[in-house]
Amino acid sequence: MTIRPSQAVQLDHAVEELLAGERPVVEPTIRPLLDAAALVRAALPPIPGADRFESRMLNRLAREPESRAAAARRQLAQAAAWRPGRAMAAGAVSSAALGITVTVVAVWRSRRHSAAARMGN
Amino acid sequence: MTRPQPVPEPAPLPVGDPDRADVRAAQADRAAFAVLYRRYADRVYGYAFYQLGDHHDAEDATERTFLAAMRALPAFREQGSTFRAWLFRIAHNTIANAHRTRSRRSADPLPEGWDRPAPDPDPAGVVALADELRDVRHAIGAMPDDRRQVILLRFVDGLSTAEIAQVLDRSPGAVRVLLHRSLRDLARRLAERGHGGEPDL
Repeated sequence: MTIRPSQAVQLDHAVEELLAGERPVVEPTIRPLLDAAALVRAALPPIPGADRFESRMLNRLAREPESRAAAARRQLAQAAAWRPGRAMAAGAVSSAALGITVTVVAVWRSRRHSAAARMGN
Repeated sequence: MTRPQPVPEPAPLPVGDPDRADVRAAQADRAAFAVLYRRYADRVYGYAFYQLGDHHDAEDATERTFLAAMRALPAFREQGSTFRAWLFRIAHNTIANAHRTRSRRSADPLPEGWDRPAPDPDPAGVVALADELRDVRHAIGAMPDDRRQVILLRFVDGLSTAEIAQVLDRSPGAVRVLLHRSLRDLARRLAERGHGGEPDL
């Protein structure tokens, strides 16, 4: 047995289709509501008015001082940001440093053993 | 004694915020906020204009909305909210403050938008359509605030049910019911003015 979605859910789906430019097929009881929805779209078109004050607004946004807390959060976020290039470089430097350290210790130990052996003889 | 209010169901998490990369960029570098401004300025402006009915007031509300958004952006986290739902919530609060300041009557008809060329070559048809659209704006303007809000957010700004739920601080189910009631209310008001059929619900 299938459960019919409520009128509100059916209407929501139909409106979604309407906004996507489709012509949804709905029950006769919902049709007047969908017709009203189509009229709303025609009566309230988008208003492209923001470009009239865009330059003023962008200047204002650029001049807006950043709060100390926001700046600290931003710097923390930048410090924590994942940067693959920087991580790879750090990894390479660390590996090289470790390799050099191991080599130096090995050479030092072998010389120390050789010196001890000579003294023993 | 006040009765306890039912706890609304939480809004579902968005699958993906299309603005995510630009939000991250703007959080790291404020200059990148201009991208988000250009993407949403017209829509916030339209939302403000249809509620405030005045270009100057709409500009002011748009400006306040974006300044508040830019200040708060470092703290924005995608916790069940898309950027645009978060932005429109700021716009919603900004416009509510403007309403309180102006004490605007809620029954004012919505203002006309910009005139699009009418597709009907019949002059009588053009006049009839213009009358009908004016009645639609008048009917929406006469609606209770929550019904008018849901219609504007759904049809002018194209927000999804889940996003409207975040803006209006309601559950998605409550928003669906509100949209249904709003359109039924509108259809009835239009039928009273001789447009369309009376909803039999």
